[in-house]
Amino acid sequence: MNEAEDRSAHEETAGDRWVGGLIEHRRLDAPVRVDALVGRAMARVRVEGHAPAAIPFAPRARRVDWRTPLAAAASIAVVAGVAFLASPRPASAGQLLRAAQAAEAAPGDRRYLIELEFPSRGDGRPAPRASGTFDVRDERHMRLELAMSGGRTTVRAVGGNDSWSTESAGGEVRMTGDARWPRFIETPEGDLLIDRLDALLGDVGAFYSIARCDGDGEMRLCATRVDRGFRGPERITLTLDPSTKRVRRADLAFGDPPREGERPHDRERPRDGERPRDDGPPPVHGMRSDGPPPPPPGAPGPHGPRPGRRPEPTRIVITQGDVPPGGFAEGWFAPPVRN
Amino acid sequence: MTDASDVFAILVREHADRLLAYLRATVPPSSVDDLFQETVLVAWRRLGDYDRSRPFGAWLRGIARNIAMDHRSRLWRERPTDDAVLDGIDRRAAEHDRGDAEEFRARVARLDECVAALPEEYRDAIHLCYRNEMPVARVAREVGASVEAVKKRLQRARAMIAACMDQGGAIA
Repeated sequence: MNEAEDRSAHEETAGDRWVGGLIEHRRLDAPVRVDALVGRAMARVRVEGHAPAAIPFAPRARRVDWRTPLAAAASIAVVAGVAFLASPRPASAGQLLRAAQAAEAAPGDRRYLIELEFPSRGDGRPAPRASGTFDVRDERHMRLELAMSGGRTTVRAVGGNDSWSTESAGGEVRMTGDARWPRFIETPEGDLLIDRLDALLGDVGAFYSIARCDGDGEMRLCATRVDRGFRGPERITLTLDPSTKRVRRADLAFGDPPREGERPHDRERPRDGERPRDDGPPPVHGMRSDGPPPPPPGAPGPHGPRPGRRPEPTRIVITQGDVPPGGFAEGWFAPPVRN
Repeated sequence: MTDASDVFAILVREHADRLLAYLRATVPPSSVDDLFQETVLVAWRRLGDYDRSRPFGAWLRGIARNIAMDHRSRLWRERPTDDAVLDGIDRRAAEHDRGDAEEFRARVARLDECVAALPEEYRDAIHLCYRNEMPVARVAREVGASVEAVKKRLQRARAMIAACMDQGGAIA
């Protein structure tokens, strides 16, 4: 192929991909979803907090006329009015969620105790369970230790630029240079949703409807998933510490497995004529960003054959744990040293 | 009082549809939401570097492109999309930099009539592949054609849709 033909082929592919992108965008990104995505991203921006060094959006030169002081006075009146109205009322669900997100994003070591329950395999044996700890310093320092009911243990961590995992069977995998923590972690039992709580709360703000559901003297938020395209629990109940707004307990309940014919949100689809997905083995690069590639078509799931998605726990309970005095030891998040 | 993050949020919302369409053209569907968010975060951190003489959408897209390529090479240890193809996608996306979000949405909405105006076999291929999310091999079985033939139909259908959208909604 000569250079001109090469260029023409690239142009054709680019046009093909662009139209494919537009079709997908038209089909999947309804305005309410786009708003939710922007809201989620801006929630992270606001949690991150620091303003850029210089704001390049210089205010436009404008004349000061009689309207300016009036507008300022009106703004002050509105703010004062809102404050007056808001102060005697309990915080709204949205306000509480934002406060909880900010509290969970604050720097510092924290430990969460994790309890997981997987769907029963339907063979008469009890449903697999797992328990462990999830230690978090920041988004680049996290460590998950889980003991499965079958006796297997697994440790997965990201420490700076190293991401690694070990298994009780002796296997060790290091993924140096890729410190991205996946939303879903692959285990033989299924995909685990283990992520920083502030990230989880960001998702709640974007993809769930929330309401206060205080009870038993506890401050609680109840969230129900409204974006069917978002892969996550069906319902989340958060119990907050009334003074710090930190999450004391998060109860994540997953819904029914995907129905036959329902496509999981995060499964790679064919997008153009040049690199379609076939019914054969998944392509070498077909790994998902937030989890493992789907099992072979027709692979039995816990509820019979299910296309695409691996099983998820039916329930995950996360509770605040105690951090060792003085914080996590140095090297706690680093890969184990081989002798 | 409006602070920098409020101004930034308005700009992000204004360009969100165009950024999402760009990401959908360049990365797998499973990565789109994450990379959208990462792009916004990086843009916020680098807001001080933004040159106001350039369109904000182009700047945002440049960040998205770098993040997407970094993501793909980390994930797959390869660079599956040729730079020349990405340049071509960039050029098509850049045609929408001058307009506003409403214009872009209106243009994307024309897709429906362009798809509806396709010859039946092309329209079926598009519907089965995108709306029903079938792999090409299954589309081929459904329509009783070879995989290669379906790929060709999809390619031609997308080219006709592009031409239709350029002409304001009429299949030539």
